[in-house]
Amino acid sequence: MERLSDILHLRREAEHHVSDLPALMIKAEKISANIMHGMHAQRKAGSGEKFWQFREYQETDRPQDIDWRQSAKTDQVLVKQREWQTTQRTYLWCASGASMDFTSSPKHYTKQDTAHIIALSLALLLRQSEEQIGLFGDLKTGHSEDKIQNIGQLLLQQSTVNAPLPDTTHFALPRHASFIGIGDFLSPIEDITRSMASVSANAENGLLIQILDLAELELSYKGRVRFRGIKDSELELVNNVASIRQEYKQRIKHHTDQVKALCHEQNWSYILHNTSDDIADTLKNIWQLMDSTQVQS
Amino acid sequence: MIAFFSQMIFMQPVILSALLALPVLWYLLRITPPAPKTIIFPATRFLAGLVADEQTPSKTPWWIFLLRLLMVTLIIIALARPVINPSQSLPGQGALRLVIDNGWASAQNWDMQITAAEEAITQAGRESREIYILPTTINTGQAMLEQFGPLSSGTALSILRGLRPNPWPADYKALAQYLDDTKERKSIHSLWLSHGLDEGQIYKVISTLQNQGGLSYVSPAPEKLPLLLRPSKKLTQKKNKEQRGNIKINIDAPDNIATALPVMVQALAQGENIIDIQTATLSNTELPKTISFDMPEMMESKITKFRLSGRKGAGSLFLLDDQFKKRKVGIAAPAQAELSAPLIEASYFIKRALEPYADITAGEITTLIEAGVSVIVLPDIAAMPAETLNALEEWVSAGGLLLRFSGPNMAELQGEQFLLPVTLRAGGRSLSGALSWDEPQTIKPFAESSPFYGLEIPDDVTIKQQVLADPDQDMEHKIWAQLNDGTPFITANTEGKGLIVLIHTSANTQWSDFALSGLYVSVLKRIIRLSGLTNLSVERSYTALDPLLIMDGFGSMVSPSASILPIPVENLDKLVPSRMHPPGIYGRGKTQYALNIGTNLPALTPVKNLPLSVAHSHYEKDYEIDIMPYILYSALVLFCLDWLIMVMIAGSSFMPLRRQTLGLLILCTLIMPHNVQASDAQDLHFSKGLYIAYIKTGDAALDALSQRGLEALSSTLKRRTSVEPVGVVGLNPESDPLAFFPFIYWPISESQNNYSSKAIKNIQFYLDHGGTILFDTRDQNRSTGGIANTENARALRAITASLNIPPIIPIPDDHVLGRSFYLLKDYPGQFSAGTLWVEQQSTSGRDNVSSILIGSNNWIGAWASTSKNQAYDRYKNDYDSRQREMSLRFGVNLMMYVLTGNYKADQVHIPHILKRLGK
Repeated sequence: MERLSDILHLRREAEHHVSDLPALMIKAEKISANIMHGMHAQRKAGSGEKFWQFREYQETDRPQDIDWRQSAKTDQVLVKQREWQTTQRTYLWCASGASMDFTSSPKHYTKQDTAHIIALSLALLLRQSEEQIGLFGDLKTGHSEDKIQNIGQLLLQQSTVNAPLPDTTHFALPRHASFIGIGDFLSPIEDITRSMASVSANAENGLLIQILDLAELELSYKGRVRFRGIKDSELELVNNVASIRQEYKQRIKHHTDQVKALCHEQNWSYILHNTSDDIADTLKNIWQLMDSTQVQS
Repeated sequence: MIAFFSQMIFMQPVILSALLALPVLWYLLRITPPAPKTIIFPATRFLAGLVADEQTPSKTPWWIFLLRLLMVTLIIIALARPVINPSQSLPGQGALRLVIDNGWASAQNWDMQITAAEEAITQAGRESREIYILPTTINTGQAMLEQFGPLSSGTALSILRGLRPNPWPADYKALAQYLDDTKERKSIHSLWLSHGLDEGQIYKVISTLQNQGGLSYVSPAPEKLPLLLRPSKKLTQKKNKEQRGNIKINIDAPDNIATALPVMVQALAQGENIIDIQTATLSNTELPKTISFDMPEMMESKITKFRLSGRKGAGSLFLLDDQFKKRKVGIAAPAQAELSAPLIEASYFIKRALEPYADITAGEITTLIEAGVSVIVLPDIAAMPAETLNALEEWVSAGGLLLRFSGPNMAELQGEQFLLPVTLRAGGRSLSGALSWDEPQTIKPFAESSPFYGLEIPDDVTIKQQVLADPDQDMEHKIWAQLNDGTPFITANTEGKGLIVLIHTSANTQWSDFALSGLYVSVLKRIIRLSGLTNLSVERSYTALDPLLIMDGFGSMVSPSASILPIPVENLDKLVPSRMHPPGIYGRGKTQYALNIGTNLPALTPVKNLPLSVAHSHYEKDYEIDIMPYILYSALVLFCLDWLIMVMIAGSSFMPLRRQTLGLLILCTLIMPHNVQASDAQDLHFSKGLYIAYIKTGDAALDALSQRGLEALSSTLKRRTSVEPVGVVGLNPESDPLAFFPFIYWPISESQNNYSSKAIKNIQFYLDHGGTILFDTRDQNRSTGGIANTENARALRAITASLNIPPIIPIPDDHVLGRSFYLLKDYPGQFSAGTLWVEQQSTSGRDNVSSILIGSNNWIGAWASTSKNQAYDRYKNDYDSRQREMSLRFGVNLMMYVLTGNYKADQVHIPHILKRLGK
């Protein structure tokens, strides 16, 4: 499979996977129509459109805020307060670097491509439900067509940078934002824990999508193999791969379990995607997860 | 050289010792594991620590080892240069004697023998060895074997070209004698290029040759051993009432011949026309093999010879003479069913005696005459109706042969005697009986003037009764046979154009036991053979038969030379052809006798059990095959296979590489080596159409003239005939294959190139395999008729001296060349007076097309001058346009002749031709 090298291509792939999910799309629409409308009631007075309460006019209030009809019913001058509403803002983060740029079989997308497709697909889905979306590292969010395009471009630009985990040193997630992190998360669990902790400090809710290759899960090689990691120092000569397969599978299972546990600790959702699986299926799962978390909230 | 298989040797056997290193290689391959494939794997971190646990060394699968060992073995074998059918290396040291069989059996493998001899001579020349050549037959006109030598390789080659197979057996007895007589002082190694048969005393010759310095014996491979046509015991046999004959001929072969050898026998009529072909498969368990030709009697009588297709020489030809022409014999007797005692009737004896040699009908005399029989036998018929008698008399006078037997009826005849050679005394004579004191008489040996001269008379034949003749003046001329007491036994006399023969005893056993003897059959046979001859005379000398047409060693019929002697009749039946009496047709007057090599030759004895010290080999096949490229190729395929396997083992991330490998593998398959010469493609192009060819003489002007002339002829052919030549090609016999061109024009030039023996061989091969060359000396104006002593003629002689060319004659008036398209009386070119020479008799299989035409009329010049090109106008000057036209017509005729053969000699066109000739 060819590499996703330009934004149009990536967009097409993403649309393709999204469009493969008419049921998902219908659901997305339903969600946005019935529940979401992009509004998240804050249950306090604010600049929303929903009525919240009447209260006595105070000096500081603007005269045009006075509800004259209600004031006429009573002796007091009443001001109509509306509920404070904010729009949900979702920040996407994609891992990038040599580790992501891997596939064991030309039949499958690399992990990077998979991550990009999932990211953009989510962006498309979220836009349909009028969510504000943005990329981690850039405060601005939006739900315009331009924004989607911009996200795609940025994803492709960032893919050359080696960023196995979200970098919180230069960017802090705004409060009440949602965080969706996509990557292979093969870094040591301590690093992941540290990084997640700093992200989750502000995030209202979060979702980690761990993308792994089948070979990484199953170690599906044979014979005498010299494995080379991302760093040149990582060199392992295995004379008979079959003999260590079970042990390796245990180790990688242990690692993914740790990542999953970490997510649950922070009340985040976790999904493992295998690049040999259908992206659409994973998208469906992700959407269900987001749905439930958002409805809860 | 190490013989590996019987037919395969290694040219560089030393290299095979490298095979000993294979176990080492095996060891090395085993301890070196294959290089690990490297895989970039992001999760490598998780592998850390796991690896240490797993230290079992990985193994290369055993079949990869095997593959690689096989590969190396193949390469080593290939480097040792294995060769199938290797050329012989020259045996021995010092002088070399080539003993060359040139008897009848050698003709069938003559080319192979000569090629082997040439190779040996060339090699001996290279090694500066003295060469002796010793043929094993004595030529006609020689008294003893002749050994040539010591010779240089050049002279040896020219002597070799002069050697011809003879149509008689090799004389090993004389060879042994010769070798005993002429003991060389020095040791000579002999290379015997044999025909593979033992012609008596071979072991004596072998031991002598070995004693004189060693012997290598070369014989034809089992499938090439000589075959011999022999007469079948019962050559002809009446099969059924539908007047279909059944001619049989035997094929004999030495019993070590290859099994299941397919053979084809052709029955030929006059003029080499094939009447019938029978195929069979020879097997060495069933020899001789009988081949039957089943054909209507009409055709049967047309057969003049049988020929083994694809084999040359006397042994593969069987000539038929009058003996085999079946005559129609009528027996004046009632049909078999009406006979009272069928098995003792006279007609039964006659019938049994003549059945194999004649078509016999029995019936009324008038019916027989109507049936057109040539012989009528009257067994003891003394009287017949007047009209029958008249008819019979008329028939005899017109040339019939009447054979009469006497018997009781004739002896008791009271009335007038008729149609008898002599006047009979009434009553007959009883030599043995109750009332006779005389002993039964025996037959006196036949006199030289008798047609029965030479027949052996069995002792136990006695005549008990006979009819006696009244003596008259001519009596002794009329007697063909007598009894011992001088009384006539067989008498004969002419009657008009016919002949009456009377046998003075009965045709059955009533009067004698003559009818029980073999002599009875022979006598009847000879009498019957006299029928159909005009001007029969009773008195004739049969002592010897002159040679009429003699077979040469290759089986062509030629006129006999003076040194060939007539055959005495008494030897006729036992004669084995020899230098005195080569096989052929012998005869005198109208009597013909075919002397065949197969008739009396003793059984063909293969040469077996050669002493171990004699190096025995077969003539090489057509070429030696170097199988090195094939083996190297297989090694390459294995290598690619190995690579492919390695790539597959090394993982799936090398897909593009694998595609390349696959491509390479396919490429390897495509470049499968074969010994195609680079020029073949171009040569094959010549097979796609008719090209007229000429020989490039190296004289540029002449070559241009040839090109132009043949182009003019080619366009004429296109315009006027259905022959559509595609182009004109100039050939160099040194390098170009000639086989694609039915006709080659060879203008002779003084500045002619000298041709190497390779070129000569090329030309000879072309001529031997159906090609035709027109040599044109182009100098008729400078000669005085014929091929004179001009420069060009000398150049021509230089070329033809080393070619094996059959005898040529000035073109006869009725030659097909004169009527193959146009009717031509002469064959003018630029000059018109020159004589055109053609082969006297074209060899078989060429459809009577002469392989060589020689003339001096400069046709090419005349043809070229018909083209528009002014440059060739100088060929126009001295003659008119009609002559130019006639020369073109000659060209057209020539091409037609070359392409269609004797088609126009066919009688079908005679009426038209006669009409146009105004006759």
